[in-house]
Amino acid sequence: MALDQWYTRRQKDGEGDFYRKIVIQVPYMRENNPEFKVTTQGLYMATADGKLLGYTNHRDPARVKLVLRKASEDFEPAEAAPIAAGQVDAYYDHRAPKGARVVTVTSKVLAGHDPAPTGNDPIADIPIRLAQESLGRDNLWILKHEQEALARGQILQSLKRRIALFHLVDITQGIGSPWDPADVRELELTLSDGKVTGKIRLESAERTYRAEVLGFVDAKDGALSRFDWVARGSLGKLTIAHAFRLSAGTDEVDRVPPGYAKVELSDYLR
Amino acid sequence: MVRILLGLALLVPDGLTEEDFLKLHRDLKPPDAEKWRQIPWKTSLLEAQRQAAKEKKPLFIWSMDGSPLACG
Repeated sequence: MALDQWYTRRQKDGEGDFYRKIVIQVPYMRENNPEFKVTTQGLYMATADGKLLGYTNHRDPARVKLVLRKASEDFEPAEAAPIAAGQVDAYYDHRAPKGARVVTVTSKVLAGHDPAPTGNDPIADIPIRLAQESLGRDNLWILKHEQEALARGQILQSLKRRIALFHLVDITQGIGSPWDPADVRELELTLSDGKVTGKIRLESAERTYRAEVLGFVDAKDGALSRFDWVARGSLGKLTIAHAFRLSAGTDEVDRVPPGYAKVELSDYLR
Repeated sequence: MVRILLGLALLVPDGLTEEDFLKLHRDLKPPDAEKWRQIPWKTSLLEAQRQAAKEKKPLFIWSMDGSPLACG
């Protein structure tokens, strides 16, 4: 399974308890992070009753395979009681609001990276090359009333704001920072006969982003049936593109909250 | 003066054509055949625990800052 430990290590519920039970068995975590105040990221293998079988935070495939192999050899099938969900920690329970639709947002740096390292060091070279070529992925939530507005031919300011502040960022190499409302210099998005055009300019002391937008929206009987957008522009010296695609909502990955919803959910939804 | 205007023009993003849209929208679609996405990942640790308990199998937890399925 795959989880965002920013949430799980903090959750005061059954899921958080189970996660911390496993994590604290890692000697490094027990000695350096006993209260889970900093990241616990890594690959864990465990039994269903929470016994740690193996852990690594390495990216070298050979090291990962070694840990997996050892954990598999040490594993002995045994009875374990399923853990009921119980009371969920509401503060960290970031689910899409009722009626919201999920839009998959992907991003890619098209040009402007420093030259990629040419070596094959699994720590110093390969991850940097891969990161430069990678696709950033995130989920955008479009709320019910925003969908209804799109069906009427309107892009509400709340949706424009959410896209600009929280999704026109570079997450191709991990999580960065969202934009601040004060960074918005131009946020012009127009919907006409199902076609979206626009210009966006965001500027802070540290970075500048300028992009053009082109997209298509369809809605039938007030329900969104298409949300395909592209934004292409510059983020500092990088040329970066973002693509938005309406999801069917049936993929497990659609359950993942938007990356910046964790900063302040109410701000994300405003 | 002409140089300044040309320089400013270079800073302004070019407009997107429908051809640009089609190409970028296609190029930024995650490949259907990504091997790692073919694993039936769960996003709920307790759902994974219940399945592991039922099937008597170990749990593999990919824990990251940001969701591994939707971050980079």
